[in-house]
Amino acid sequence: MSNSNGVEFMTQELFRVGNTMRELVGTLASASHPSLSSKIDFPSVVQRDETYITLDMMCACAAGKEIYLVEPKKGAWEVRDVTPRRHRYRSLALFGVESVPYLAAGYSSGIVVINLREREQKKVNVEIAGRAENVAFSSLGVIGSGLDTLLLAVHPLVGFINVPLARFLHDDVVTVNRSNVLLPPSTERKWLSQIRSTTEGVYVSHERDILHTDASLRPFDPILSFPAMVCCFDVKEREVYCGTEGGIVYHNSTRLCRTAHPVISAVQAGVYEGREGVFFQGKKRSAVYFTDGDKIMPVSKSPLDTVAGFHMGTTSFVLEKNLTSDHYELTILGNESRIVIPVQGKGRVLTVYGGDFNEC
Amino acid sequence: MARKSLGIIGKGHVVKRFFSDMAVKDYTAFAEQFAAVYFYNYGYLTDDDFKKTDEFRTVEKRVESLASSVGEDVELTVNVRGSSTTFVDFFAGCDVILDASEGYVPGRLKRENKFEARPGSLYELAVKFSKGEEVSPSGLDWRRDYDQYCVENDNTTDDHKGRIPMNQSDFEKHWQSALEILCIVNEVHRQFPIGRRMLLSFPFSADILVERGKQLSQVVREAHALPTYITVVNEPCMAATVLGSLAPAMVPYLVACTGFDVERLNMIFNDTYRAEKERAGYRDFVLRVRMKGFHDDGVMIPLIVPERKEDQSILAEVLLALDFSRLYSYLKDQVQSYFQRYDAATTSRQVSNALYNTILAAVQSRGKCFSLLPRLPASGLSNGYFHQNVDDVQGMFLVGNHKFRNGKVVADE
Repeated sequence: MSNSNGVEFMTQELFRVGNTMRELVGTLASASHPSLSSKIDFPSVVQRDETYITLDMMCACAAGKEIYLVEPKKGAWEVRDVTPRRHRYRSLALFGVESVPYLAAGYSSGIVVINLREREQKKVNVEIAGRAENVAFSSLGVIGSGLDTLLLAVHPLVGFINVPLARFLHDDVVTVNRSNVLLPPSTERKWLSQIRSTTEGVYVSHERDILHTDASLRPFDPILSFPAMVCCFDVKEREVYCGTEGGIVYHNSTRLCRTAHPVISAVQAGVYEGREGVFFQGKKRSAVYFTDGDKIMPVSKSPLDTVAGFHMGTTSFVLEKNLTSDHYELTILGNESRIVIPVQGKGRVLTVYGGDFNEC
Repeated sequence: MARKSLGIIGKGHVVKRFFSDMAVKDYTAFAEQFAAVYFYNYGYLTDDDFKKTDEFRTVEKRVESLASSVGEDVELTVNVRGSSTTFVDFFAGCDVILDASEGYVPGRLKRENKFEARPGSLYELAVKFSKGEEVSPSGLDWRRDYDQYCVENDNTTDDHKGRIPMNQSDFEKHWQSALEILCIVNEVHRQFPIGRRMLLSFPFSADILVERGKQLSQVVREAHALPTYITVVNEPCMAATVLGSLAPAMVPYLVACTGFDVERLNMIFNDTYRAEKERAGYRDFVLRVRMKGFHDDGVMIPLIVPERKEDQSILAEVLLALDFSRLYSYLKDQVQSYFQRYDAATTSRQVSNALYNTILAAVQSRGKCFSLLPRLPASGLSNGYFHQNVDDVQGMFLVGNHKFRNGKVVADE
C-alpha cells in the first residue's frame, strides 16, 4: 500500500471512530438517564467575557536607561525596576491582553514588549530606523484585543507603523519592514508625532494636524488643524485637548489658555480633585486648567523640576527632579493624598505613562 | 514570575505515582513553577481528616523533600482546600487543576495489583460486556453491592476515619446511573468495539463528572481567571466532553491527558522497526509519529505520519518495503495492549511523564498571551482537546497535537 493510500486508510479509520463516538454521545443524550440526557447536547462554546477585566493601576517611568514600574501593593505604592535592556527609552505604553499586563518601551531602533507578570520579553526590531543618535520612537499605542492586538508606534525617521502582536507567537523577535509603515514621517524631525488609541479609533498628531483613523488603520483623515505645531494631545470621548508650540492649550479648536512655560509635553483631560480639568505639563511645571472656571492650579512644587507627568481618573503621577539632591521623585496625587516615591534612576527622564487601564 | 497553585481532585494510584516519580525524575521545573499544591476535599468531614490519610501524608513528604532538594528558599506547600459546598474556594485558588477522581465501582476487588469482579456485581456485568458476552442485567441487585460498599467504607475503622460515605439512597442512584450508561455504551460497543475503559471505568464516573460539570458551570462566574483543567478520568476525552458540555466556558481550558499513548506508540515503533531504520541509515534517529481518536482500545488511531513535516522523507525511506495496512494493524494492536509489553511500573511512569509534561506546559503558558508552550515542535503535546465540527459550532474532545497559550489549548496545525 502506498503512503497516500495509507493516509486515506487512516482518515477512514478516524471518520469511523468519530462517527461511533458521536453515535454513542447521541444515544447517551437521547436516553432517559436523569443527569445526562438533557445535558450532553454539545452547546456552542460560549467564551467567557474577559474583555473588561480591570487591571491594577500602574505607572511606568523611564529614567535615563532604566524603566520603573509603580503599582499598588497591599495598600502602598511599590516601585520595581523592570528595565529589560539598557537602551534610551523615549516612549512607553501600558496595556493588557487577556488580563495580563504588558509594557511596551520604544528606543532608537526597536520596541521591547515586557510581560509584567512573567519572565518574558519580546522585541520588535525596526531595521529601517537605523541607529540615528537622539532619535527614537516618540509615542506608542495599542488597539484591538486578544491575539488581534496591534502595537502602534511612531518614529521620526520611520513614520507610523503597526505590529500585530500575534507575530510573537512563533518568534520572540519580529522584524518590521517598510510594508508596516502606514504614515510617512514628518518632514520636520523635531516635531514628534503622538498616538492616542481609543475605542473610537486611533488619533495621530502630524505636524500641525490631528489625524483620525478607524480600527482598520486606513485611511487617515485630518480632523483638526492648528496654527502651530502640535506638541502633544489627548482625546476623551471624541473631544481633543491639544498643546501646541508656543504653549497654547486647545479644546478641539477652542483656545483654553496659554501657559507660562511654553514647552508642553503632556496634555490630559480628566477629573482632578473632583473637578473636570485639563492637566498639562510644561518644561518646569505641571498644572491643571479647570474647565468650570479660568483657574490654573499648579501640581508640582518648587524646588522640584517637573520633567514628566500624566493624569488619569482622580490620580496624577508627576515625575520630578529634586534640584537639591539631583534625584527623581514620583509624586502620586490622589483626591486626598500626596505620596512621594524616590526613583533610583539617574539621567534625563524622558517619559512617564500609565493609569487605571482596561483590557485593550 | 508569579508562582502558581496546582489543584488535585482525587488521591488514587495516578496521583500517588505522579508524586512518587519525584524520587526518580527531575521535578525542578515543577518546584520552580508551583508554590502550592491543593487537594480538593471531596469526601471527608474536615480538612484535618483528609490530611490524616496515608495518601496525603505520602504526597506531603515527597513535596517537602522536593522543595528542600531544589533550594532552601523554595517554598512548596501541600494543603487541602474547598469542599462539595465550597468548590469555588478550590477552583478559584488554582491555576491548574488535575482531575484524577474516579467513581465507586460496585463489585470491583483489587487482588495482587489486579482487578477482579465479585460474582453477581455490577462490575462483573461490565467485565462480561467487555468480553463480548451476551448477558442480561436482570437479576442484579444494587443492595448486594451496597452491603459490600458498607464493609469497604466503614468510617469507624482507621483506614476510613472521617470519610463521608454515600447513604443508601445516593448509592442506589449511583448504581442505577452506572447500569444505565453501561447498557447504552454496550449497545454501541456490540456494533462497533469501543474498548474496555468505556465499559469498565466511564459508566462508574459519569455521574460524578456530571456533578463536577454542574459545579464548574456555577463557579466560572465567580473566578477571576479560569484554571487549566486536566482530566485523566477514564476515558479522558469522554470525561472532558461531559464536563465541557455542562460548562462551555471551560472548553478552551479543558485537556484530556492521553499523552502516554503516543509515547508508547513511539517506543513500540522505534523498537519494532529498528532493523528497517538501520538499513535506511537512520539507526539513531528517533521516529516520532502521532495519535488520534480516543484513549480506548477500539478507538485509538495511530497516525503513521511524522510529527515534524521535515521527517517525511526519512519515514518514507524506513517504511519503504513494508505493507502499510499490516504495519498499521500491528502498531494499533500493540499500542492498545501495551500492558502486555511493559510492566506496571513502566506504564505508570509513562502516565506520570505525560501528566508532568502537560501540567508544566500549561502552567508555564499562564500569564503569557503571546507565546505557545512548549516551544519546540519536538516536545509538543498529544492530548485530547476540543475539535469543533467544520459545519457548526458543536464538536467533541479528540486526541491530537497541541500547545498552550495563556492556559488555553491551541491546536497544532
